[in-house]
Amino acid sequence: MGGSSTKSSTSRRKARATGTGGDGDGCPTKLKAVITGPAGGISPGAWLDVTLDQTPAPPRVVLSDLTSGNIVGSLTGIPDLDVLIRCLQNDVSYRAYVEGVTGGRVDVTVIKQ
Amino acid sequence: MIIAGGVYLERCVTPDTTQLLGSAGRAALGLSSLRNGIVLHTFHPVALWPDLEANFRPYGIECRPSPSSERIEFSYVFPLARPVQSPAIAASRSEELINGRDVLSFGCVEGDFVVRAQQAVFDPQGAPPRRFREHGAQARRLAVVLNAKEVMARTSKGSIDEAAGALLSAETADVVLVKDGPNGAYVFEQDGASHSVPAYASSSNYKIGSGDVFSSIFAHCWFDGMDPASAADLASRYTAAYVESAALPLPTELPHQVPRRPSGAKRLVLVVPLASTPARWFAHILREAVHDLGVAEVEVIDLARFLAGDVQPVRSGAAMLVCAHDREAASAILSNPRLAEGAPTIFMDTSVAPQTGEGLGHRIVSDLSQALYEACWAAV
Repeated sequence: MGGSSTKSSTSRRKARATGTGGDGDGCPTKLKAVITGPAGGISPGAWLDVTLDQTPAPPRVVLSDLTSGNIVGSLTGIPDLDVLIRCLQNDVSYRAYVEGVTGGRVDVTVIKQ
Repeated sequence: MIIAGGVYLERCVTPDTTQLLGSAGRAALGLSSLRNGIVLHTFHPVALWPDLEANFRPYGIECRPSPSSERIEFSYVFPLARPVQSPAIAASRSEELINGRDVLSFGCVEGDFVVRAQQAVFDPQGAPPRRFREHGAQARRLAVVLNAKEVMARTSKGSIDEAAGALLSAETADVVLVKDGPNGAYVFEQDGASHSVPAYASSSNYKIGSGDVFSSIFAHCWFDGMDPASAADLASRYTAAYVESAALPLPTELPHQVPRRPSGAKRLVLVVPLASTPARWFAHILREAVHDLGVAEVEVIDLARFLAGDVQPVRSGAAMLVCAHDREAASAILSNPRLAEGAPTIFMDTSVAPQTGEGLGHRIVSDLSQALYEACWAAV
């Protein structure tokens, strides 16, 4: 068991260390994602609000248009999503910047405020 | 439906992407918009189980992980390049028994799922080669999904038809599906029936996980009673929709889609910069990708010599892909009718100029995987 937990911790450190950064609170400063279930009408350069939909458990991270408030998609399939959710639950604020829209693919960078 | 297989970290240089999906994760998330009651069996380090929950549970997917020592990572230069697995070999391999009515099972780095099901779809995912019924696995109805390279490697037969026939017998399968990239897919049934399914056009091509989507949609439809050929056709359509957007879950309705038919040519002229070691390495990666797409003959030509008129590729019966990393090179090709003869597909690096369009019979594509597919649709 001891050996097994050592390996798990190593892999966890490796996973947590990549693409997250952080400034002491363990919350990622920046991470890239492809929006899940993107709505149309999103343009590169747009800023999106990042909030939690608490309806499901665990909650879902949703992105909404800063001006209209319309939900434009959600985040999933990204490493350390549990950490991001915990940070949002602790009132750490995030915004998402739309990096690119190619076909139906919407790439965003989620940035800690 | 039970989905068993890997959940892996996938990194890609271009397009710059990091995702936690893997075959089983992608299949589960993809199908979550189309059916309820998905149970995901996978291997993962215990410390990272909350990350699995955070990613999949909100979409109605029940996670049932088994412990493993490390999270496996696959790195791609671009989606059609051969990935690098890290760590290269799992520290240990486990075996997990899966009991269920409908089971979609993927080959896995960290171990094997021994499936006992009424109906199963098995996608072995290359190495290590394993038969479904090894270690006591059972299924009343079984479909096996592989790509053309895998099915040829698993048998000593000379053609896909013969290899699929041998696999039907060896696996005691009802259906064998062979995915063949730009050519679409082939369906072989135990009663001797066979069908060809086209690839469908897309305007961009995020190929990482396209086979997972194919297998998951086939399983979704075939488990619910659709005939194998129709299920494979729908799987091909959904695959085109997925590579276009890389968006999950999969859409509940598909747009109108156009099949792409191969032209019959077997040669591709690949014009790439060769002036430096990194450039030659890149050319090698591209050549491997073209071979993996089933193009028998690839002629590699130095872009600088091509632009100077020093070399004249044999264009008869061949398609051409020109990798013009800068605007100057692309303009030189477009403005010179002699260089543009044969209507090459032109890849323009997105870091230089995001651009897709047509002119003088050329296609200008800013997505490297899409450029290779466009070239192969003409060449294969």
